[in-house]
Amino acid sequence: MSEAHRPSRDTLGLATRVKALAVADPVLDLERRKPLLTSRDWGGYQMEELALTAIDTVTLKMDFEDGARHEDVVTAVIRVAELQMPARGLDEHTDVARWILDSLVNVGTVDRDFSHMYGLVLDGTYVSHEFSFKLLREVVGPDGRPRLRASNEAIAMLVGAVDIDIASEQVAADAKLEALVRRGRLADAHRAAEMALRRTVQYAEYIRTRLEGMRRDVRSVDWVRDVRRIQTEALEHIEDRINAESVIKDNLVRMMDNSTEEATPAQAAELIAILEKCLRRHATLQANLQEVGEKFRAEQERQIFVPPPSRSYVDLAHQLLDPVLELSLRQAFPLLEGFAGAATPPRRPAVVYLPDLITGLMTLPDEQDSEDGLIIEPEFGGAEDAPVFSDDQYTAVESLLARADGIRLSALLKAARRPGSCNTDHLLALQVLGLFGAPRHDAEHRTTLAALADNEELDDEVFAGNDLLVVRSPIVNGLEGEA
Amino acid sequence: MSDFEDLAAACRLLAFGFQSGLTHRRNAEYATLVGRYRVDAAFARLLHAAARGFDLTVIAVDPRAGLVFGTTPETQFAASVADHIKQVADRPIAALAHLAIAALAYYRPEDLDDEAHVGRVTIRHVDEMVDQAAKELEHRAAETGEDDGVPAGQPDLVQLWRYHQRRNPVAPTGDARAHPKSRHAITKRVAEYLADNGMLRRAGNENGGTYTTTARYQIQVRELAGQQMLGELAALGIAVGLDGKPTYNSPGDEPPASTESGS
Repeated sequence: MSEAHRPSRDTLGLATRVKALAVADPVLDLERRKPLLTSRDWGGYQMEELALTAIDTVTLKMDFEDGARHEDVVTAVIRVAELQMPARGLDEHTDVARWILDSLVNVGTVDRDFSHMYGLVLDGTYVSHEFSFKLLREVVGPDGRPRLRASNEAIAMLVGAVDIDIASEQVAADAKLEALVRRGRLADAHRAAEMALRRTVQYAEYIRTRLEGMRRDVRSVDWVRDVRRIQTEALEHIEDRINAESVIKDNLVRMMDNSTEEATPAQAAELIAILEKCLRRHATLQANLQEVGEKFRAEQERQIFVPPPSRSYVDLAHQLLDPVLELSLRQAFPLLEGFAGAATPPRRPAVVYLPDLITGLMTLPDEQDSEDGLIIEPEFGGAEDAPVFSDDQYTAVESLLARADGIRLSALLKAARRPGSCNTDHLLALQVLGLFGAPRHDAEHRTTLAALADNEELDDEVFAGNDLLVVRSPIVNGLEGEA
Repeated sequence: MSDFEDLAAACRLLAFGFQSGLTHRRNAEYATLVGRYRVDAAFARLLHAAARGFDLTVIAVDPRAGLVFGTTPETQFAASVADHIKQVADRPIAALAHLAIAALAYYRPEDLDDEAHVGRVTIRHVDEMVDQAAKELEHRAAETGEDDGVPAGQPDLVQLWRYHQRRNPVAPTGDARAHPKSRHAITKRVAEYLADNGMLRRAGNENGGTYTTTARYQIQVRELAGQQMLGELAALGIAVGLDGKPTYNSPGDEPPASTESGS
């Protein structure tokens, strides 16, 4: 074995009790963390009760093969949350339920473990140790989706003890139930019956884990020493339980028939329902146990009766995997890394070419503006082009041109430059220049207004060039006017 | 042919060997060089010398897998888990997955030797295999009453099986994708890495992903990885019998005689 030294013993007997206290801590912690969720007003919920409901639901829903689905657990917690805070909405109840479930699974940590410190006395010195545990464990369901199983620690918390012999606790639970029923204290008996049901689940879980080892490798278990003993013990135990619980059930049925009080028949019926659940679980476990021998033989056939290895190659599963799992992480990781390296092809390292490296180092980093910065949407105002000339100026120029015939630009400019009309001369000059290039046809009067250049120099303070002559000529037809 | 051309050809074959996804059946030049290696002893020596220059060893030039390299401790070419698993906390799980994939693909030792054997693994079964081994150890630890704590401040003294057990195999996410820190997701990443490097072939999506092994993987696990790790374990003083029976088993079971018959 990898443990060279003697396994450390809990000489003070404290470690077991510290561990028992520690498993309750995540549940109590919920109540403590509740006020810290400042964004939510969850003060009215009793978180411990909700957490116990969640664990309870998982415990009762899981059976020999399968776990509980997340949705089922959330639904059960919502039901209790509704009782606690009927005024709040379903959305909030759902949030609370999910928070409870996430906290119990310990979402957010890598391992999803809870841990607690405790000490052991080794050779007279006190050494601190860390105790890691889970309450709800996520396993793979038959369809590959996650399921929940309650850990042994969680079930132990529900029934209020850890590190005990489960079979004898179950006997005790049944005895207590029997005594309570016999004395007619059915209200107390109800709680005892529920405890007995949880013990039943715990016992089934215990047997299941013990049988799993065998299924994997028959060579690691000894049929006579391990398996048959477990099987016989468990079958005897279950038979006793079935008998005891049947007797209690019979007593209850008789009590229900002879009862005169009002409340008793209903209470008795509830008790009978719980006991029937116990009996059903016992029956499943019994069926599984009776198949053990058959399964063992089948596994033996599959695993052992194969031809012996022809050459001395490594048995990976037994010679490598099993021993390495027992090593500490510190020892095992270099070995595993060596294996991984040897079992993968060599990689081509990225070779650095010096000129590339220098170019890479010299290049300025890209400006990261596109993704990171806040993009500000520009707002476009209703900016319009301010007209250079006003409508008044246009009408003034138009009236001047309307009367113009055989008049020179200089005369027009003089007319336009009346006091109080600034820039009108500019508009006039532009219009006349336009007339020089493109004569204006007046369809109404069948005339053409045009500006002609006749080598007369314009003498003006602002403008220079030819002193254009604005003339109006009648159109004979469109084409002639153009010509 | 001149010496230089021989050297160029040997280096060319070396270069093909680095392309682990490539087999010589898909490349005529590669196939010619592999054929030449098998008949031309001088060329073979040249190839070995060239590989030695890279701190690599030629494990095999195989008619199915082509050129298979092994790495020596000095080489710069060895791949490590750190290359494809970024999270430090995930690396032990990933390295364990490497071993578990090989162990499941070649569950019986003779599978490693059987050239025709094609191992078939699924992510779910790889995980289950390790998980069951861990459960058995848990059961044994519970029977001996061994304390399950880890000395404070030394988290790496935790036994590997406990480290494996603490990590959840699956975890729900908002959508139906795998949770990146779950064991299944890490195992899947390892399998995808192996598939990308020509060690596994993708064979479907059942059970979280199904893969079959390639000849190259078989040769590397058989000739290098398995032997090397067995040697390292032996150096730590952990020896396990060839019949696969751990030494800590009850002394009543005698190993069948003459198991050491092979080479």
